[in-house]
Amino acid sequence: MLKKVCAVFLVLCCPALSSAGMLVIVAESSPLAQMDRHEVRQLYMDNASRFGGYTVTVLDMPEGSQQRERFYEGATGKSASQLKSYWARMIFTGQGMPPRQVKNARDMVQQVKQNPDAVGYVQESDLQEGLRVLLRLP
Amino acid sequence: MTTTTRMLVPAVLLLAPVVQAQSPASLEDMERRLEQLEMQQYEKQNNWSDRLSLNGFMTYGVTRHDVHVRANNGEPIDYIDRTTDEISHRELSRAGIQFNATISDETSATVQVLARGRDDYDAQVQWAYLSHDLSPSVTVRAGRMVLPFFMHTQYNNVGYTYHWATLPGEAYDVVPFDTMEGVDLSWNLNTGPVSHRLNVYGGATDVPSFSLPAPVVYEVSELTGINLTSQWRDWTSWLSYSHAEVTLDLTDLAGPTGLPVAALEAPVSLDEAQTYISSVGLQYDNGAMVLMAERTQLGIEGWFPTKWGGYVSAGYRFGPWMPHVTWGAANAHGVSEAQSEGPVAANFSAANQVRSKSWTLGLRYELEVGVAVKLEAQRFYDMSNDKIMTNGLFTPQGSAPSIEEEEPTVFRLTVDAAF
Repeated sequence: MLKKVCAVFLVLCCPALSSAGMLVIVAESSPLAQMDRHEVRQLYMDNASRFGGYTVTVLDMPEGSQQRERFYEGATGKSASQLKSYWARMIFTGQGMPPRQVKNARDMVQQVKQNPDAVGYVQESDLQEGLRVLLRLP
Repeated sequence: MTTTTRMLVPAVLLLAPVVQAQSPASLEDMERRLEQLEMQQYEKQNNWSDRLSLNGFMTYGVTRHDVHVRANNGEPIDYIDRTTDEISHRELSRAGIQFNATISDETSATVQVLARGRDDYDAQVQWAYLSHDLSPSVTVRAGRMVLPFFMHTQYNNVGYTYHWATLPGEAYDVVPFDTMEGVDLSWNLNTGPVSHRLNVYGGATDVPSFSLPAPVVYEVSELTGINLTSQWRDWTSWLSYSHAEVTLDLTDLAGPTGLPVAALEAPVSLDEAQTYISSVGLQYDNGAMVLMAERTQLGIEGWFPTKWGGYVSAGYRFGPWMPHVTWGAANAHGVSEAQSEGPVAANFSAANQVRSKSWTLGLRYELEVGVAVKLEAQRFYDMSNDKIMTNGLFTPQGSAPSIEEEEPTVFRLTVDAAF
């Protein structure tokens, strides 16, 4: 009975876990200390190469990944298809290219750790030592 | 772990005794070296994919209108010179591909090739330019570019980027400009919470026109323009103004019209006529609701009528579904003033006039990220008044009877993709 109750509890908790907020991260050696939601939105929508006087490299999760959808929903309020439409306008008019996509969450952590210029995002469970959280998205 | 790395593991293990023989290495050292090799390999692949990118877009569409009366020559009535009352699979269908190569951190080269069904899929280079970042916020480009006259002109072939099956004809099909050869400079700047992109450009282009008795070419020189896109939260505004000198030699029309060459020389032929093109637009998109409005205008010194077009559009996203409604209008003035330039100029002015209003009802369905299906119907009305007698964007009166009583409607179904 206890097992069943636990199982039901876990199932009920799962959706809550899957919608947990994303963390905007940099390496511990990064000069960046914090960022607000508006700045994160600007950084990712412009794929900016400078922020607060520092050189930055914006990293993105692969297209189609659930973490990417949650990140953009939290940071910009845009769905994956609205984002696709936005970048199509930018790419085909030569106004910009989207941020470079890493292979997976492990790759994101590895690349952010090794590059003091990199800005990325992970879910809470992927947070590791050597990373600093700039912003927790809703 | 990549395949290459997997192959590297045995190699490193095989070499391990040799390495150990020279200097005793711990397991941690080995792991660190393996990680470095993996990283080097990854960076190599990464560099390659960072330097070259390939993107594309595609539209398959069908369209027709419902006016079954015939033009004076017995041919079907056409909408914007091409769509008739028979289904066309070609008019809206097109495909484009774009190559982008990074030459250095600051410089890149871009080529975009477009093949349109209406041109028998003959590929045309729409964009071919070198781009150089003068600073992180200032970029200069040189080469062939699509003209930035109106809010959506530069991505008008990428149907996936907007909610309509085609951009509103009253604003976008009245002026047939396409590309130019020239230079542009863009500056991204912020004023408080508002971000701007200021773009200035200069160049030249030729515009073929089919609104007179035989095809003619407007030579557009000294073309310069400025436009400003400003974004604040969910709002985006657009302002643009362009200036050019237009030369139009109409003496070749002597044959088709039977007029003496002298009657077609200036002021009927245009010699460096001062021309302006302007547009003002506003967009709102909060993720669910979309609102858009724009007004465009074209004026050419001389007998050519001043034309304006515009639209107001609203849509709402319900999951993947987005129903939308658009009201559009176009008008021209200056036709009566053209009579002072003589009867030939007055006739040509009348042939270039336009008046039209329309309601468009549409539905966009997001099949998956990057693919949208769109269905729409556009009903036209108010195409004549006591001064202007036209058939709007359909075969003009004079070549066809008035079609207003026919309640002309254009239907479109498209599948648009961006990849």
